[in-house]
Amino acid sequence: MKILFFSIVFVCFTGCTSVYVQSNSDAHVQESEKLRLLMRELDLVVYDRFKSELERDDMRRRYAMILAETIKELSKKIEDKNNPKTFQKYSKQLYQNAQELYKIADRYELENLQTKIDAITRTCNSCHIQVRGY
Amino acid sequence: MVVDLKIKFFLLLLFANVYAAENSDELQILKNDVELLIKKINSFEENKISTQTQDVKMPLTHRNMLELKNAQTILSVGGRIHLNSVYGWPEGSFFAAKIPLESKGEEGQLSMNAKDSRLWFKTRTPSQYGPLRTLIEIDFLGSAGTDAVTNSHQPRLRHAYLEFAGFTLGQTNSAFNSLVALDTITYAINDTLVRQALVRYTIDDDLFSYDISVEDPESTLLDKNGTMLMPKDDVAPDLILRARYYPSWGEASLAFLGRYIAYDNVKLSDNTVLDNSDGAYGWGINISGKFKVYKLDDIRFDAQYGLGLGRYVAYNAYSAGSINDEGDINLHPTYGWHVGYRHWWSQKLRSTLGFSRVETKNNLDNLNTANLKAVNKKADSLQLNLLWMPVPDSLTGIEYSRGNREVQEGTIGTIDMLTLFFRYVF
Repeated sequence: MKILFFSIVFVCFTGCTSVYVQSNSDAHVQESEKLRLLMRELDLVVYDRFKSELERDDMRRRYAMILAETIKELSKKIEDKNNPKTFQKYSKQLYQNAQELYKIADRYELENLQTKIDAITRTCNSCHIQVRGY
Repeated sequence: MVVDLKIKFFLLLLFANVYAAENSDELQILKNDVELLIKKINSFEENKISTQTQDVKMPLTHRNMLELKNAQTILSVGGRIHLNSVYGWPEGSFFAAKIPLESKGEEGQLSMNAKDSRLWFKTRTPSQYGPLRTLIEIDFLGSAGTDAVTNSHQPRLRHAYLEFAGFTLGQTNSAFNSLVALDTITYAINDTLVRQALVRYTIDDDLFSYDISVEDPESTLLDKNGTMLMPKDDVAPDLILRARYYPSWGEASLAFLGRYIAYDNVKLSDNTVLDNSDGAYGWGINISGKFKVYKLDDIRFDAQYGLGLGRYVAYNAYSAGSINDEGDINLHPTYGWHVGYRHWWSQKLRSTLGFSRVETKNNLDNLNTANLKAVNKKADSLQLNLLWMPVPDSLTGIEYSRGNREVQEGTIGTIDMLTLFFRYVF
């Protein structure tokens, strides 16, 4: 009986946790995919054939601003008070980074773009490791 | 997650067994099993972390440009090295006006060059009205060097302009140019690509950009011998209005061109002087864009139509109009389109299949029938490529392209080209 009892409790616990993490994960899978595509588009601007270097910078700026807005939306989604505190900490960090990214793009300070995107990438990865466990 | 659950459940059962066998001789064996299992789980988790953290990938952008900074201004130096290798059947250029007629020429001639390499300098200086940005860019497609000895291709100015407070001044891409080009190595046969001196004002917001641009005029007219004349009698700049749209599904632009085509006492190709003058208003529209269809795959398109469009399409293959015996200008309608599908086979490998076509309606009443072989009528092309990005900011690949050209007299020429290239952007 003890074995059965522990088994049921354990299964319920792990099952609930899985469902909870899964729902959070689903909530921003779509946004993550959008971010990935935006980053790829940002990388591919260099291959735009007709554009001058300043026009390419215009495109990089535009993509960076969309990227910043998308990250802001994502951070708002995971800011939900029902989410774990770890989630909220990272969402604030993400929002702040997104704001800074927007400012960099707005001022055409594109030489700082990569550094900021790297910071955002680190925030995302840290959050995934701590909250999802991977 | 399911795997996690199974492992945890198995652990639970194992612990339960340990509990049940607390006083048995199997205790030590079970403890050893548990330790082994924990080690395996830890190893599994570590592997999972190292794999999954690549979910959010570092962008491929590693710009290697040189940046010099003083208190206010940032100067960046960059460019590209471009090696082109072309086999042509026959040898020739892939432009609507230059495809060899009757496909005459050397077959399978291999030609290699690096003249499409580029060098640019740009600056950015902040100000209370926004950044002041400048660009000077050259390539080496000026006068050609000899293949036999040094290949001393001459530098050629591509861009020299500044942007400040919404204004663009200098030489750069015309506002009438297509917003999106096919991702090909050779050009679409109907490309609208003009670089010229201009003054442009741009209103830019999140989704839309609006341009009003006055640009360097240049009339091109056919005389009765089918020779394209440039009278150099232009009095009014070309006017271009353009709207660009950047929705989530792609990007698109609509441009309208208005121009005044004129001549005054022009010298004809037979050295006689036409002691007359005339002018006509020409116009054109150009629609260009791309639709994202799946992930990074996209469909790119471009279509233009105009009366007196002339040099704005197909690299000056067609004149804006012709001069009749009375000295009047008759403008010619010109239209073209291209469409292409770009597919990504993997993160670094992509292909484009593109089709294009361009045609003009020459006024045959103004042309001697004996000279119609010199007058371009229409052209079309097909391109298919495979491009690979082996390292960031590099691109290499192979492209097959086929182009057809027809002149007014009816003669046709076809060219097949195989292009291999390597490019690195620094």
